[in-house]
Amino acid sequence: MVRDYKACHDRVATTILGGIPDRVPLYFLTSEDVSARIAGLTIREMMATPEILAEKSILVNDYLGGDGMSLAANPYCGPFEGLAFANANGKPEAFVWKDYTTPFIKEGVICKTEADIENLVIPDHTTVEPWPTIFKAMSILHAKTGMGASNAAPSLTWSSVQMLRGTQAYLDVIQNPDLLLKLCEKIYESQWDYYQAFCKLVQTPSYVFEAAYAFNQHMLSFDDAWKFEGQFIARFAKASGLPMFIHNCGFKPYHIEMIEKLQEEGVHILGVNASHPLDLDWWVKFREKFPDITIMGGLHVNAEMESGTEKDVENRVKEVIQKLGGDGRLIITPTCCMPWRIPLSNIKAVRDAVEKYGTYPINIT
Amino acid sequence: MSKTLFTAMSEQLLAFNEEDLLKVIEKALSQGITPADIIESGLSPALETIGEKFEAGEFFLPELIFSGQIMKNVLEKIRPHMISEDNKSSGRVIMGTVEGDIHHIGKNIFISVLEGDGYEVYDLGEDTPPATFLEKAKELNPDIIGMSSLISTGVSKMAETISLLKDNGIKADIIVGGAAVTEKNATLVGADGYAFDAWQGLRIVRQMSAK
Repeated sequence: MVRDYKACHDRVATTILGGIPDRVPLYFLTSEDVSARIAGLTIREMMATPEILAEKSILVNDYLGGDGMSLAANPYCGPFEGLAFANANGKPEAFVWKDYTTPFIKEGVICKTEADIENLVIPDHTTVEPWPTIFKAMSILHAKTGMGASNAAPSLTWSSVQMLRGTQAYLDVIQNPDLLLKLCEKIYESQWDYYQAFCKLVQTPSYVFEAAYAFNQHMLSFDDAWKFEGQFIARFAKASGLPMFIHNCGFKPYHIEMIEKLQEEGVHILGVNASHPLDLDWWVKFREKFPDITIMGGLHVNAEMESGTEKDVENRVKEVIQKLGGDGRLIITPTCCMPWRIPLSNIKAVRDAVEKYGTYPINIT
Repeated sequence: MSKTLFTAMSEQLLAFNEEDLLKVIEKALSQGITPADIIESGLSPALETIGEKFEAGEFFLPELIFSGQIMKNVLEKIRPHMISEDNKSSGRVIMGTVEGDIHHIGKNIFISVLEGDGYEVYDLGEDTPPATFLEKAKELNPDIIGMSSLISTGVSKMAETISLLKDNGIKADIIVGGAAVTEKNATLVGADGYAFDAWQGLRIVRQMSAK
């Protein structure tokens, strides 16, 4: 598929900035799993050099279509931050590579004991792999397409807490909160180092795409989510001076409480990327409450996309655009990352439905 | 007197005070109260309350995991006092995170809740191939098989694993859960039950083992 990268970029940027683009943007969140299969390489082969990673990322994004451009190896501080911690702390065996599925760190291995937390080495993101490879690939991607480097994506802090401390983190919330906060402080230090490395090796980003995993009602109370993650998001936003796009792919997210609290702290929230709640009427009320916040979502990858028909997908996209797209501030994004099992016909169905119903001015009867 | 002790057990469990809970239990045992009565009248009501508070959004994962851990320790403590009939497990469960996914937190939380409810749980760990589920199912003859996955790519592996188990005549009920799974795709992959969270999972496992 031949894509007009500038048109794609402008469509997304216009939407985030509150303008009305030519049509509703469509953004697929790629995963290593789907990328490796499209590229025909194992994940490690795909990440062997920045040049290969950039080239295959363009291939994958062009294949999926839509208006997105992101690295095939996800540049947010998820598994690959775990790899950097594993490498920096002499425990590379804690990281499990798979040929065609997303690699992950064994949870709870790096910070199994209190001493592990005390002695935790913060990775230097300019030198500890995989970050130099990822950052260089982002620069190449940006140079070739003008896309793919507009945001830094730290993950403050619960994603890393879970990777490093595992199940014990949840017991620490009750039994040893001070120790857990010490770990959170170290993770924050690492995330700030990541951001500075991003600025140095890629470019100064326009905004921060932040994954807020603690803010889920089935996981932590709101107060604990704020204590172990929210306060660090606010601190990061103030220190960087950048607006934030919040990603939360949990099933019961504290979207409203979290945004209100961050706004009270003076954080500028540009948008929210989520799959849940699935009830679009909830999002209509969200839109009424936060008219200036872009909604990035509308479809759950494990719902219509994975198990529905092409008509199911079309109907969902139509309904999303009808209810949320009229005045802009909407990016259609199946959330979270795309698994390989999604039928290609449903990927095409999303693209076709966005073209059919998403042209501004929206006119769906 | 027994009633006072049962109330004290419930209060200590709800306060997550393992040390004092064990003291009350020791006192009850020394007075001849049976382990079965301790579980039924002292601990189960508190566990129900914890589950209700979790469902109502008053308790969260830390409380659920902590109470499961305390219950596991308490059951270890009173097991030597059980007569053979009391010592019967609630059921046998094998549990694993499916191949391609090495997240353990959700699985471990569920195991902790099941063990706290008296189930005999065999943890197959993470990144568990379909063939390992089958091998262990044949070896252990479980009542229930649980599969977990956090990542969106895990659902297809659940389908493959369930298909292999059923093709090989495994009769155990299969429950799936984790962030990747919805009720609809749980049905599509051939599972007998789906749980959104650990407490809901416990309820379903209880229903399955009561059949």
